[in-house]
Amino acid sequence: MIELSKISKDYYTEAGTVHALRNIDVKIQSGEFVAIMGQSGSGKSTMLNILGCLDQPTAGQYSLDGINVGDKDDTYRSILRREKFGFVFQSYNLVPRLSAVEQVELPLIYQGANNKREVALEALARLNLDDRAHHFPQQLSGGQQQRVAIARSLVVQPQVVFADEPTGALDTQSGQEIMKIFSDLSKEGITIVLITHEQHIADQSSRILEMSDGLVVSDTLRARDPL
Amino acid sequence: MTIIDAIKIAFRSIYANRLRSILTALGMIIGVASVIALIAIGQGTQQGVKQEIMGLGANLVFIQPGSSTDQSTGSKGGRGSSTTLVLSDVDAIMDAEIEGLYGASGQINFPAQAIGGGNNDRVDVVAVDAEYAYVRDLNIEYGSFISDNDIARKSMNIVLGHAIADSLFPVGDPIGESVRINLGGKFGFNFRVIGVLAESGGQTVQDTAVYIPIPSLMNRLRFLKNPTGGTTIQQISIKIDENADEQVIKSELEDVLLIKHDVIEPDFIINSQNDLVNAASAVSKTLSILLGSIAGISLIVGGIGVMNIMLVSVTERTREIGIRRAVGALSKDIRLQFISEALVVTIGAGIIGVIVGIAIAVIVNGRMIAGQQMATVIELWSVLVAFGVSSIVGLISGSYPAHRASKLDPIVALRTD
Ligand SMILES: Nc1ncnc2c1ncn2[C@@H]1O[C@H](COP(=O)(O)OP(=O)(O)OP(=O)(O)O)[C@@H](O)[C@H]1O
Ligand SMILES: [Mg+2]
Repeated sequence: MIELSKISKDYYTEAGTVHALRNIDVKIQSGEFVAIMGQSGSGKSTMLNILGCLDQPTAGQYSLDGINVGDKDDTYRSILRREKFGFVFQSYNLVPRLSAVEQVELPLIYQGANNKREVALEALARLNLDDRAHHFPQQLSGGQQQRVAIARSLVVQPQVVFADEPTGALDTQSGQEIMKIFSDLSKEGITIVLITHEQHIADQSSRILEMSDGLVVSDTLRARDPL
Repeated sequence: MTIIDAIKIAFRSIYANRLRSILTALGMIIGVASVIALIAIGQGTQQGVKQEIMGLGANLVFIQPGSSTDQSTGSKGGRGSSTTLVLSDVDAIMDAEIEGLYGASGQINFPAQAIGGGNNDRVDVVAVDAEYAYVRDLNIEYGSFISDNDIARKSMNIVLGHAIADSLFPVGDPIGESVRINLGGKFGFNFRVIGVLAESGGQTVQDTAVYIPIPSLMNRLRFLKNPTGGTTIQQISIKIDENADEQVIKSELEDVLLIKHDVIEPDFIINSQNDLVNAASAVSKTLSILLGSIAGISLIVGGIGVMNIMLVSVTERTREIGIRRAVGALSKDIRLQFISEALVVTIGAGIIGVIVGIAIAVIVNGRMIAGQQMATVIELWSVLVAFGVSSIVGLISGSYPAHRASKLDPIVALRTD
């Protein structure tokens, strides 16, 4: 369970201080499928990055399963990302010059796992990418690249997957395929926190957080639409 | 992350930037290779000089004209402009009956053209006493060396060095044949061959020399006369007992000549073979160190190149670093990755540099370069030093870029294009 209390994030720029998050309180239970919506600049990515321990808040407390992560160092947060979190980004964020299977092996390398190739190929197979295992990012379609990124996020069997507009760069068809994957993962019990601009995507979640100007302005639990 | 994975990643990215990696490595390769090759040449020269001096025959003391403050007459050539050493000094030394002194011979050297058997060759003419063969341990292959009789009669007899005998008389027995020694133009003298020296074994000076009795030329060559009427000589070689105290003999010799020359300050220089070896070693050791240091500078320059490229690489791959951090790479994993990359480049360059350096040393060895016979001695320590220094340079020049990479904020790195 993730709990943010009184989380603020300020950016200090030459033009002045930007209050990206203002005293936010959010609790996410494990197994939830949370969609974060809101206008551009409302602080969605900032909150997601803090939730995923990629970024640190300026003030407030972050606790994960009762542990105050704010007290922990960079190594601890890295290990959290490595062992418990998966990330999917709008721009895929694949490493250039690595084949699909090598992308998926990355988290395993840092875990020091043994049968990396085998496990990575399994993860790819699960996303129907077996035949693309040795393709490089520039040889894959956007949807395929995003599936590689999802395979990479899943290969360590994370507790939570954070996705920042995962369908943002995709056409409707590929976007739907990706959302189907997230729905399935959610059904398996993996916690999902996903940012989207599109209502029909948010409709597939179990809870919608609406953000505006650094605040959570609405928090709606909903019955899931059958897919 | 394991070291193996780090090295694999390093190889991948080095391969991905092949040309850049090769150019970066080239600086280190040149540095390592030149350290090894130049030190090998320096050591080879040192050893060559040492061997040459030791090969002069054991337990020798040399006296040459000049004062110790007169730099124009070095300890080696003995062809100084001073005319203070004369043939009668040799008699004075022998008459002094110095304990442990076995023999002495005066000597004059000059280059000339030797013509004989229808051939001709450049030779070093060495005008000597009969004692010379004994003093310098010369071995006769055929015939005999210059005798006391030759000296007394001022005979026009000549003994040929092995190489000269071969080049003038490739077939047949040279003994009894006539050899003309030409000093320039039509100015020359005819000699009769009475002996041929055995091959010296590496000592080219001795093999390409010809030996004649000193007095034979005395009256004919004006430059051999000094103002007092004595025969000027260039060097006296003295054989001493190998167990004798070199310093004692040197000081007794000095006393004899000071009295004979009637001077207070020596107008001659006495060197033992050991003095010469030490002097020559000191010179070539300095040379070795100098060459090695120059090469060492190129190692440092190479290291700066490695650091430069690593910094560029970190900047270029900022986003990749962000991705790796996002999927769980620890700060130290990123550091390890970049250090490995720098080390793979520099150690690879070190290995290639060692091979190239040894290859150069081996190829150069024994070859004539710019009229010099090159000799190289590959020193294990130079290989270890070159390789070690290049690895340390790699470690140092990789450390700072790797540190920078490891300190990148994951989220900032991810946002970089
Ligand atoms: N590194 C930064 N430096 C300064 N300001 C920043 C930085 N990152 C974000 N901001 C500001 O913080 C606010 C929230 O940004 P954030 O990226 O969280 O918005 P978002 O809701 O994800 O928007 P979008 O839908 O466009 O992705 C914005 O006003 C943005 O300009
Ligand atoms: Mg955003």
